[in-house]
Amino acid sequence: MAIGERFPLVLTAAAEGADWAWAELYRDLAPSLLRFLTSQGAADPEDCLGESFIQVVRHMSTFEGGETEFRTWVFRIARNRLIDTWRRDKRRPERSDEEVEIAADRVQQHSDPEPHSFQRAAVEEILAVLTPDQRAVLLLRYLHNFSIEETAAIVDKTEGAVRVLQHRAVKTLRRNLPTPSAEVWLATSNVTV
Amino acid sequence: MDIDNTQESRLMARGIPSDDPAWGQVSAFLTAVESTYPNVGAVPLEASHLAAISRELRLLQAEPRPAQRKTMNDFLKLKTHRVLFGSLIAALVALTAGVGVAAAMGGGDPLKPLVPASQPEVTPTPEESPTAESTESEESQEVEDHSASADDTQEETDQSSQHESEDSNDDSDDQTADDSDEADDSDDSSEHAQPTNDSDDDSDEADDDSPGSDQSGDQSVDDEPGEH
Repeated sequence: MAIGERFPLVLTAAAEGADWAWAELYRDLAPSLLRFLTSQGAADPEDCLGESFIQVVRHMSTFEGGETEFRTWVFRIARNRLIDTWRRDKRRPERSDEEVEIAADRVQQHSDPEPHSFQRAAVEEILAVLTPDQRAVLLLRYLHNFSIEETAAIVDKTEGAVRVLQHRAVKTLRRNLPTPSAEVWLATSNVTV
Repeated sequence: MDIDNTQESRLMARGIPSDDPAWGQVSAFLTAVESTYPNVGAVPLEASHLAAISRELRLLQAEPRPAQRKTMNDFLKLKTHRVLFGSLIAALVALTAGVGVAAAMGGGDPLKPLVPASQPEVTPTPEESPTAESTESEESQEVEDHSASADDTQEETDQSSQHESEDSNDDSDDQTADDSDEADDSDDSSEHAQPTNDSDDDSDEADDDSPGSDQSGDQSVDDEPGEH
């Protein structure tokens, strides 16, 4: 839910340290940021969300722009924090084919699975075959409706590189979808293909 | 089968149905992703996160904050800043290189056209003649000293005339030293008149290369007997 016309006022107040302005910015951006961090495979998306907002506070004085630019800027900070977390923990959402098969088998052997958890595990296994950049571009474009330009600013790449990443992500998904995991999520999502 | 840009744009815009034979699976999967990661909000986290934000704000307000402090990276983020900075560096490099080339070519004082011609060059004309004369008189004196016949009166006359010339030389040397000091002062003032780092370098090179008043003044002082 965008702030709209009041954004310049809110931004100025936030830069001056007004708690009400920061609360408004948080409520506007936190849900989508949490969704983004979760979809990127963050181990602790809630903690990463909090750290991201701390970084926003620290670097607020360097920001210049409108609401769209601010949203892009905050997403970029969040992604950078996530990458720092990966580097620190040395955990990446990429997995080998063997690990994907093992996880798919584990999902299938679950005795009384909740459909949603089944689906989530299967979806995450399939998304794991994408590179982090491909996954970020695909989900920023599809889930969060960012433009090519905004996505390029978030992932710190050129617009051409973003188009290439999106194209390769789609092709990789199509190539990997006929898998045991795909059959699982197809069965649980009641989608007929 | 590859996907073209039009189909890809439709896919991103949720325009391809799930039963599409080519890309229906991908479309269905992306729909599943959207439902897997719903926009649930961050209400349970809001209190703790806002408290952390508030603490950070207080910390930032408590520490002294230099006005408009920016790192060089921030400064160079703007393309115009990068262009200006690069142009400035290029101009300095070109100026330094040009001065170096001019000095190497031996064209005299490279800053000579820039220095106002109000300060006349001090040419060592007055002191050289007495110096040469005194040298010649010394030599003639030595010859006379070594000669077999010694004329005391003539010698005394010569010595007295020599002393007189030495006195006059002292006066002229003092004046020369004063002139050289004035020349030094004028050089200093000319440097201050052009308050750039390059002028300092240029003046140093000029002082080293040109047979200026300093050297002549020093030379005359060094050559003058009895001054040491």
